[in-house]
Amino acid sequence: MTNNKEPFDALLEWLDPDREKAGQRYEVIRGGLIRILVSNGLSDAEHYADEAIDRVIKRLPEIKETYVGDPAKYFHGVARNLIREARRRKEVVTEILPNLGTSKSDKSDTSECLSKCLEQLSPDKQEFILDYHLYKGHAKIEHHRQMAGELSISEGALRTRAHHLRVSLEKCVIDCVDNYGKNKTGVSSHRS
Amino acid sequence: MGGSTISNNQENEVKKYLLGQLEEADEERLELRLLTDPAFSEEFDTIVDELADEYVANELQGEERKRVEQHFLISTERRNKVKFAAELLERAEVERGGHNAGSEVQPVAAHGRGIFERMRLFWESQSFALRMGTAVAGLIIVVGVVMLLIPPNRTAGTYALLNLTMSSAERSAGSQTQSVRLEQGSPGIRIALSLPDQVPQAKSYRVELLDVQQSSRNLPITERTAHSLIVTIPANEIRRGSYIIRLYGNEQRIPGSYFFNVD
Repeated sequence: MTNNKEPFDALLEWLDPDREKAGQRYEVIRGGLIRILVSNGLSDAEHYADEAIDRVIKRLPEIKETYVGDPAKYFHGVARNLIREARRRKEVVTEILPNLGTSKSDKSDTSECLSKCLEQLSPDKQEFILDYHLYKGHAKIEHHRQMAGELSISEGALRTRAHHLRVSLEKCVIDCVDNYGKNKTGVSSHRS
Repeated sequence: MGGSTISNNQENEVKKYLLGQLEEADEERLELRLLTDPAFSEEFDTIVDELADEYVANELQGEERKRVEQHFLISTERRNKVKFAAELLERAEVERGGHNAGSEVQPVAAHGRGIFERMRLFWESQSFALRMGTAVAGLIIVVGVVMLLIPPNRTAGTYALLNLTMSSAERSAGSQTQSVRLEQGSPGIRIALSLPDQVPQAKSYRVELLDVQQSSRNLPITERTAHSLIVTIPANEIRRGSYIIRLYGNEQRIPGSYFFNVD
């Protein structure tokens, strides 16, 4: 991100007078922007999310005193403008079936990285994450119900637990694949 | 750790959003929630992962699959997600589905699941056509084995048996009339008809069965001895009621009748 400290502090203050709450709100807004931008077909969504935040920071001195309503709504408007602009520049792919790019080398890198990242998990977490993704369709639902029963947690809690583990595993694999081209042994330090 | 924080309707709405099927106003409302509600964002991410899994596992067909390709997978991030999902699901199948005997990871049974439970889950994960085909094939095998195991004469012992003596009367003599009860599963009634002593042996006999409406039919003679004829009546050809049997020798009516009731 390119924000310098003073305007960024002003942004946080606009989000909430309490600095800690403001930081939390900022993280939620940035995460939301990324989800919105990805869902609207923008690749490199993190870059566009920071671009949206920069635009708000630049406009902040003008709007801070007069703007009425939730700041999140203002961010949303800026994000929508960015999406429109990207579409005009044809940066958003539309009506074309994507090439999933599952070439043999891609797959091999991902596979090797998944092995390495799984090894970094404790054995019970390895079992859990693989078990959770074993079945499909109705069998999957039934399987998750039984897993939840065995762990004495609700199915919703099981789903959340699996999601958290998957997020950290996926991040580890992405980092590993990124590093793979530079250094074949590169796996980010990571243990969940 | 919390559970699901959104309802099924909201989950469906997220899916519609991801597939580009929401109205603009609903889309805006959902996006604003993504900017303000961290719990909703987490649910959103979970649904994204699940949709990627469903796509990889070929659980989505037709229009829905096409929509995933045209809306959900248009960004590089999502395509990378699908690649990761494909790798994760394949690994789960290899290490947990029993295809990799050398795996260091213990099978699902480590969670206390037995072999029958795993078989059931495997069975349920197969296609309907495969399950139906396997069920029909299994049924045919079971029926074949049962037919091989049952001796061919086993049903003979379950016939209801009657020994009838000819009466000179033309009508049933009430309490003296023999009765037979057809048990469920019995193949029918086997009747031994004693031949009257004073009648000379005929070359051929014909046995006629009459019911209370006087409708008649011939019964096949299954055995013949010097003193009796044996006829069988299949269970599906006789009902409860009173019956008369008439005997013909060389196509001449032999005086007298046999009477019996089926209860």
